[in-house]
Amino acid sequence: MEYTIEDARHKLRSGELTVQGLVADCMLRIQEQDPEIHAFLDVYEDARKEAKEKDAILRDAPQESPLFGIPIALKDNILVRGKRATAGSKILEDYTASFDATVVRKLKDAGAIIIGKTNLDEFAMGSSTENSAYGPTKNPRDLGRVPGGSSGGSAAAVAAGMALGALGSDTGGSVRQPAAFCGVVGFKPTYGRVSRHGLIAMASSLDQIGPFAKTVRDAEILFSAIAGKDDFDATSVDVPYEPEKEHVSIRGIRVGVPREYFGAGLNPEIEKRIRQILEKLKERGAIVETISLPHAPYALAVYYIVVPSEVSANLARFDGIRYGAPSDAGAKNLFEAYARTRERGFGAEVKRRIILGTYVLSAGYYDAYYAKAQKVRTLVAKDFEHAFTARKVDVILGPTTPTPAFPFGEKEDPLSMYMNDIYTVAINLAGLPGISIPGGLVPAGGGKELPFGIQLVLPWFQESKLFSIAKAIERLIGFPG
Amino acid sequence: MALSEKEVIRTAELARITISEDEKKRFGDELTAILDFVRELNEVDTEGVSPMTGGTREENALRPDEPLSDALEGAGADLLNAAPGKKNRYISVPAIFE
Repeated sequence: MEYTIEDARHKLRSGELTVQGLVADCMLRIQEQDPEIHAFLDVYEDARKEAKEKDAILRDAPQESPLFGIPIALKDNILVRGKRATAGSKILEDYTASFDATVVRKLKDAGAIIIGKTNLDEFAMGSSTENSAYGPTKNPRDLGRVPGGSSGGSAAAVAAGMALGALGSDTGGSVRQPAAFCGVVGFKPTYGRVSRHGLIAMASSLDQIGPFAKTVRDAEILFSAIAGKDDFDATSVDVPYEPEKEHVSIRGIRVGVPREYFGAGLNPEIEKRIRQILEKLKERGAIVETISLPHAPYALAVYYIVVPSEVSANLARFDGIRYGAPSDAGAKNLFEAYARTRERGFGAEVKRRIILGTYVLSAGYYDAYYAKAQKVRTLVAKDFEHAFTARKVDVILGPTTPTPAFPFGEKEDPLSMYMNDIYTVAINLAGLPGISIPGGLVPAGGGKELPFGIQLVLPWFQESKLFSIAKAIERLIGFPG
Repeated sequence: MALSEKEVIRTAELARITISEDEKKRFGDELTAILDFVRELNEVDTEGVSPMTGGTREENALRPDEPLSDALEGAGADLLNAAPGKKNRYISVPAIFE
């Protein structure tokens, strides 16, 4: 049987379930399904021993933490002390982390059990996990299709019941998009709300760690465990999280529907389903209004300047001297040692982004590309501010992705792959919180149906309201199979 | 604007990545396509707009530079062990001056 975190928590309390049973159940699913799905890069057998210890603690006294004894998977760009962290790259194949990421420390303090590390596009660069140096992950809903990315392994692990929850990182949609493709909940918190200390950095002005779960409530449990100010991440912000006490009523909620998110390229079935959900919201008393985010069409172009620029700086540290892959013994000089290690260690997309970033930051091009992009980024953020203040919308609602999960190998050229993130990147550029919840199933040809996601975006630091509204919409849609 | 093979080679050099003959051509074409795509930003009037340089408005967050526990920071030996080239208790690197 598959449990939500909330179910498992109650069953652990009542004694109906043991932590050992719960961990064994996840391990069994991994054994049975993961040879095919390939969600995990490493599975921690010591989780069984930990489970036994947790059961002993539970026998002595009930535990308050909702994550006590709950098996959680982590994207393999998040460090766990003493464990390998590859970031999906050959260059870190042999790298062992020497400390716990802040989110890992917090999960361990909350009593969660880390059961393994999940697959990702190399250094989180991609939208399908096809860029992993360790082979792609398959979508548990349809093994011929991608699970999305870059946190595809985490999304697949939760969708297949191999973990009760998981963490990923979201720089331009890397939690929300795979959540949409695999039919689970994926949440990107407000920039600064969760510490990135111990997350292998991709684009530091955008990266956020966020949870995957089966329900909004479970995502909230994970988020409240990992949120908070941290001295080790100078961008983290001191805004304590307080969940809302009561259910939010849909009546009177102002829902903004951005015109720009319903243009060409959106799968008509997804559009139809979202329009139906908007009708249901209206029936329940929500005020649904069309809004405009006039700079939204430029968000992707801004993103593909800002990200490679930050990537080129952040990945300079992978030089074969400090971590992982051995430096080249035969190198004539230092330049050659660096250049050869990076040639062998990095995959095509990583090289492409580093070279592009180096180019746009180089003398003579900086103003034309990077400075220009940073200015348009300001305008992208102001569009959202305008929607929340002048138009007074409580929540912005739209599709998470233009299409459901696509078949392997379909998006070979980089630009068509980038188009996947068209509705998600602006939220990172603006630093806003955004959640993808399962919207139901749409026909995908051949009699098959695939999940799609609905994205909800709220103002900065309004996570408590976000979870309340998301729960209300989740109830309205019903839990899709 | 097309990225010439020469520019690709020069930029890869700046980025400290050796690229193959194949990649020179491929990256040239792919990067040209991406640069063409991002050129649409020129349509946006950014006169008087200040750049957004980070994800928050926080400035200069500092913390005391003091040693903390190994659990938080990682033990020195572990950090050293992460490096592939070692001699005694030091990380060994190729010579910087030739």
